[in-house]
Amino acid sequence: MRYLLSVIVLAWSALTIGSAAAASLNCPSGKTSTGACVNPRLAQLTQRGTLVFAQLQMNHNFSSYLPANPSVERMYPAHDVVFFQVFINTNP
Amino acid sequence: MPLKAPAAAPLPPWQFTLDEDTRFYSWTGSRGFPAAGGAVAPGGSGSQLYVPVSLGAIGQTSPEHKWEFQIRSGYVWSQQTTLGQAGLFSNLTDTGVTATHTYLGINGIQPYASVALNLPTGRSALLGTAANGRMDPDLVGIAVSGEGVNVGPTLGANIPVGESWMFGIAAGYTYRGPYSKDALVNPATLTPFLGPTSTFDPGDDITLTGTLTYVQGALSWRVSADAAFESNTNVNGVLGATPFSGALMRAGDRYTVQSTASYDWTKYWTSVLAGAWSHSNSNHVLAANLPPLITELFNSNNDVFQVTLDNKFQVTPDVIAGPTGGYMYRNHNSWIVTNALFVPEKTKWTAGGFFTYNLLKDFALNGRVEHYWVNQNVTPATLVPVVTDNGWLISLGGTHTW
Repeated sequence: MRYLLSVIVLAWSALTIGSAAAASLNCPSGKTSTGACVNPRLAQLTQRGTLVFAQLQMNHNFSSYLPANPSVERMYPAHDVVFFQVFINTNP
Repeated sequence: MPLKAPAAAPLPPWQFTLDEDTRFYSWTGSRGFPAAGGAVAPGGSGSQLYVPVSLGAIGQTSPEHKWEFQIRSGYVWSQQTTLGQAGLFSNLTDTGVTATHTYLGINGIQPYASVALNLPTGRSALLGTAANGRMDPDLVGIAVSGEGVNVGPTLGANIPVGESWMFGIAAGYTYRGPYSKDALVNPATLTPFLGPTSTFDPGDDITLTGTLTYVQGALSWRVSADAAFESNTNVNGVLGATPFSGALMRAGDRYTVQSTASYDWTKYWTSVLAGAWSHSNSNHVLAANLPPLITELFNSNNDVFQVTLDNKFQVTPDVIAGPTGGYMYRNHNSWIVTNALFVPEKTKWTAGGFFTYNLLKDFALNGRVEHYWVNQNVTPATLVPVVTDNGWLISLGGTHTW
């Protein structure tokens, strides 16, 4: 596990430190290949929807989302059906 | 005269969110949990108070570097009042910590690295009658309060395609550390481990995930699929009357597809429809209490289908409310990997309503009331007849942002 984490940290550092910064304009969710700002809601939905499954086995009480949210929809990935909440924010 | 470089756009301010939800579950049924066999048995009942709390922070240290942090813990009080199966426990839950760094400096792809930790602030072993407070997680919020130290690094990326579509990919590894657990049995033979506790070392998981998202106008749609592969679960204890140390089982590979769609019919009405399906392959088990692990003769896992529909109405400028409904179907007994527990085949219907009241500019109250009906079919192997349960979930929480 320690070896795996070391490899990830080194690879990640090489990628993010060595890459030329293309974000002269501050786009809070990055840019598309044409240079337009990414829709923040699109990025948020995608990243959360991906991460929640990638870390699904973490713990019965674990969630990368907040316990309560004023405008969320509850959905539970089925094989841990009550342990997890996938929220989708319907506000921009 | 030299030209002055254009000023960089200011970074968005860090956003903090403190969030709490107090959930109370109360259920009654024709049997307790686990359901007793035989034609006659006392009816079951139980209740649980579950209070998850979370603090999150999102911000940027430069235009290229975005950071997200979250810590989440909680408290659980859980009591079963079934005759002959009564018991309760109360404890902190485990604490989850997550840090995610997203690199925004590449046009066309936003890679990110995330690490999640589970810190064992809860209690993994319940002794004596306290173990009876552990109930079916389809009836209450959570079944257990603790497990071991878990570490889950993830590498992923968002890949925008035009302005409305985005792919997401990620690979995760979850190291799950050992912990003490009570009342262990070999699920293949139902032979118990003797002694109050055994050392339970759950298998590690490799997870591959893909997501496709579309956002345009009033419509948002997302579909995610994942595959999870788990290593052996090991136990150190006394199996039957024999000291045992080694692989007890290996959970089958698991596949999940989940999709959510949201549509704003009007400025004041939004519908959210979500569905999920999961499948688990057969487990590898310790037949006759002897190694090696072999594929079980029938798949003791299940396919699970679930669908929920929420409708949100802007009742006043500060109040959102609406009805919610859901349906879940487990087509076999299910092995729930996160707490090493078999859950019976069942159907579950839910119906209720929710509200959000923006009490202050930076504080909102959230509430929810749901009724649920659960029906379990006959379990011939244990002579358990049809079991019906129903219960209530009432929750009230608050969200403070600054």
